[in-house]
Amino acid sequence: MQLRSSILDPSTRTRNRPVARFEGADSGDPGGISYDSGVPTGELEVIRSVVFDASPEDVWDSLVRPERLSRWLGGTVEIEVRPGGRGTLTRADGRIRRLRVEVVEPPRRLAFRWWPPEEPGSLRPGGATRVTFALDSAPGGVRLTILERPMPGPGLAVPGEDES
Amino acid sequence: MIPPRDQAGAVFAALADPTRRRVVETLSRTGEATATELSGGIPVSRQAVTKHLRALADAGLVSAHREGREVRYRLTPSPMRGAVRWMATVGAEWDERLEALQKELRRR
Repeated sequence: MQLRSSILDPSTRTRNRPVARFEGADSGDPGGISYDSGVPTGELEVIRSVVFDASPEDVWDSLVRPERLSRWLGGTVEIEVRPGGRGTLTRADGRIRRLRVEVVEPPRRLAFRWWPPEEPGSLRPGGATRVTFALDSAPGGVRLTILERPMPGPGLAVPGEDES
Repeated sequence: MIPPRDQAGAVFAALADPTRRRVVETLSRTGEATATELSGGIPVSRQAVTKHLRALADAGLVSAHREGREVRYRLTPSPMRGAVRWMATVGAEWDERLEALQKELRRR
């Protein structure tokens, strides 16, 4: 089964295009989130696509302001939001992920590359992954689509994995 | 047994559910667990966890063995295991982040 993920292709951004939908994908949420999950084959990647009842400006703001990112991304964030800008995410356990911003197209698209936290003593750190946030208007608010994909490199970093 | 050609599809279908992603992510961290232990860490009933474990077993992602009166589950070794664990772990991370982002957006 080969399913290409073209969700971020601007020329084909229609709501009806299937995005790797499988049986068991969740739908709806009393809190106002419509939630689709997709894990397409062919290319290893994780996609989440959620509609938030919020304005595009507010969602964009929560993606680019360090104080706000620090409240949801999973740690304290420092970031220079410009192509080539550097950043770090410091987790509660003290471990740090480095990141490098790649695409900034307000209020629609933000992409960065980040690395897993460095394992002390590891000979072969895991490779970088690329994260893309795409915002589109949707009934009910704003659709945020998140894509994370490994970059070619030393391989997948999975906690506890001691072989490739 | 699912034929290899369909196994990738079954794997990804199995991982489309967030509870199943949590189960796979937990098993990849802890190694082995019973349904009861798994349901302790996930906000669903033990019955629901057992149903999900069955679906994961059907997709070839987990295997069960009996130890005395307990049934213990673990991730099956497979060429896809690294990819499966990565997707489950990263998928579970994004599930948590999106919940937190929803709360953050409601603060305003």
